[in-house]
Amino acid sequence: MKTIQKKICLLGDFSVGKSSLVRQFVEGQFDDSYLSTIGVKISRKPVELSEKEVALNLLIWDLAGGDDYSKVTSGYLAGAAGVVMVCDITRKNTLLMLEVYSKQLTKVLKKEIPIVILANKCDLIENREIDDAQLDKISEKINAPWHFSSAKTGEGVETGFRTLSNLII
Amino acid sequence: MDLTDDKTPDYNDSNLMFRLRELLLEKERAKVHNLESEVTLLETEIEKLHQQILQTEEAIIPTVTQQMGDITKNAVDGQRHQMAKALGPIIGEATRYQIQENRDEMIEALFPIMGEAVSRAVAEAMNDLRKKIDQQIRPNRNSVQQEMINRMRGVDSANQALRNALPFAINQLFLIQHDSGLVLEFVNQESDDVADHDLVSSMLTAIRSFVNDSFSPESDDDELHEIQFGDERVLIESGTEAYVAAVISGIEPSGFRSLLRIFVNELHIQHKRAFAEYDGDEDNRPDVKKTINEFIESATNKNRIGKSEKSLDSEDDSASKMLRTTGIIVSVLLLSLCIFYSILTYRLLPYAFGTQNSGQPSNTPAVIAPDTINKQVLTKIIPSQPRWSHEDPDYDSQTTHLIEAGSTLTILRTEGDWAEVEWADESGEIVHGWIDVGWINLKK
Repeated sequence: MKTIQKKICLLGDFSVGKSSLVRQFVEGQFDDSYLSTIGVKISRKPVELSEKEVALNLLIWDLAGGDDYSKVTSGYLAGAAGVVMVCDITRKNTLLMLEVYSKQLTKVLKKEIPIVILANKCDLIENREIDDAQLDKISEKINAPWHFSSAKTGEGVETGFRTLSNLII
Repeated sequence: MDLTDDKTPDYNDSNLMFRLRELLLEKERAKVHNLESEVTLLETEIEKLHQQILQTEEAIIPTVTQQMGDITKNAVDGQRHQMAKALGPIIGEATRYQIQENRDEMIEALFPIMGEAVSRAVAEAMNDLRKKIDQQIRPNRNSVQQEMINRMRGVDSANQALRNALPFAINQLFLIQHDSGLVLEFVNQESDDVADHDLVSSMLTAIRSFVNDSFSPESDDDELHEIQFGDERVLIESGTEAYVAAVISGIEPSGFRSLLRIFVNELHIQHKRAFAEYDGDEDNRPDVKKTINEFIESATNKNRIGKSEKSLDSEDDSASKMLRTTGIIVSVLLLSLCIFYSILTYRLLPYAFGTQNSGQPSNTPAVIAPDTINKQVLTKIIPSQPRWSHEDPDYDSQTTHLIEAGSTLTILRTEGDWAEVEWADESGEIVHGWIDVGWINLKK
């Protein structure tokens, strides 16, 4: 089994749960008081893809969301092998931002890289503002599969990152 | 007045009106009166109490203070954590307020604690430095040479010792792909394990990107070159596809930065395509570990100066050369002087002793040779220390007389290393015997 290192980035509007997703994926924890990032936070997570006989070493760049950081984060996107885009199913605007991030990504990298959409906070399904049809539509538009996820319960987190890992390799 | 009378009452009758008011307000007036009396009483009592309090204030305050102290103590003992939690923010706020309002008082109050802590920390740091300097200035094989080099270069020894106490070392060296921040190679010279170098390299890349985007977004030429933390510094030198981050301690030698730049350029000449195409696959990683190790070794070891390093220690080299040349010249001069002196001595001996010198050495600073002593010329000869004379020119022969140090001897004849001498003993009697010429010296 050979070892491969890859840089991936997390993109999404502020407070969609990017940092919590990384924390859940890397450390298997969810912390309600976990602060939203102000720039970038980098974590490492080994993922074993036994079917491909690859030990993938993911370096996850968790980028701060929001317009204020768009200029700074564009530099962070360089060299990324894949991107996890995160939206909050209880806030419709967060889905609309994914298209903006997708355009920014193409502009910076000047090429297409694998993307996975995580529709986060599925544990708050009763407050849902984004339906499956809307997710399907954006998925088709930016050519990225989507999954429900919950940083709180851990549901769909591993699946989402594994999907991206398989797309990268 | 008859109220049942049909006649209309006279409302202008003042007596009548007064009586009517009396009848209607009698009870209320009594109540008001009572209340007024009560208020007066209460005021009197309050005044009395106030007076009592004023009189007994000195007695009350200690009692209340005692109670408060006990209450606080019980609360602290019983609910320590809650008390700390409750008082923590207030203490912080109070300290801040006090610092703002009475800065000098706070400094005075905190000085014994802070001063002691600071002085202890400084003392420990100074002690470490002293040990290092002490180690540096201990005499060793090169210390004299170094001292002379320093003098020639006008460098103070103390400054040199201080500089040597902070030896230069490359602790870690990262070779990192530009955009992705992936580690192309990592070399750790320290014995301790370091933090996850993959994460460190990514964070370094992020910091570089952040600084470049924040301070020089339009220029590709301006880059972050150095990060300092504690005793260590990270020197960053960038190529087109990868950059090197060298974590160093101490003071780098002059020219090290250019050396690092040359190293990065050389790496790019050999591996540029590999750096650009590296995709994180270990199998595709360029093999540069040996090159990096060689660079670290050559940069930190002055005894193995490579081609590119010659400029690094050129000042030391020139000083060493000058010192060696001076040493050789001085040695030649000294040798010439010795030869000249020896020849001169050899030539002068016949004039001093009247015959040719056989050159027999002695174990004392004697300058006479046994076969060259002439009785008529040299009669003032003294032993350098008390010695026994012998009956014959042989140590196994019988001893005859003790010759006191400083005695004036007259040499009668010589035989081998021995001389027959005569002198006046303590009683003035002339005695004679044989003595090894090694023990006698010319009297000045």
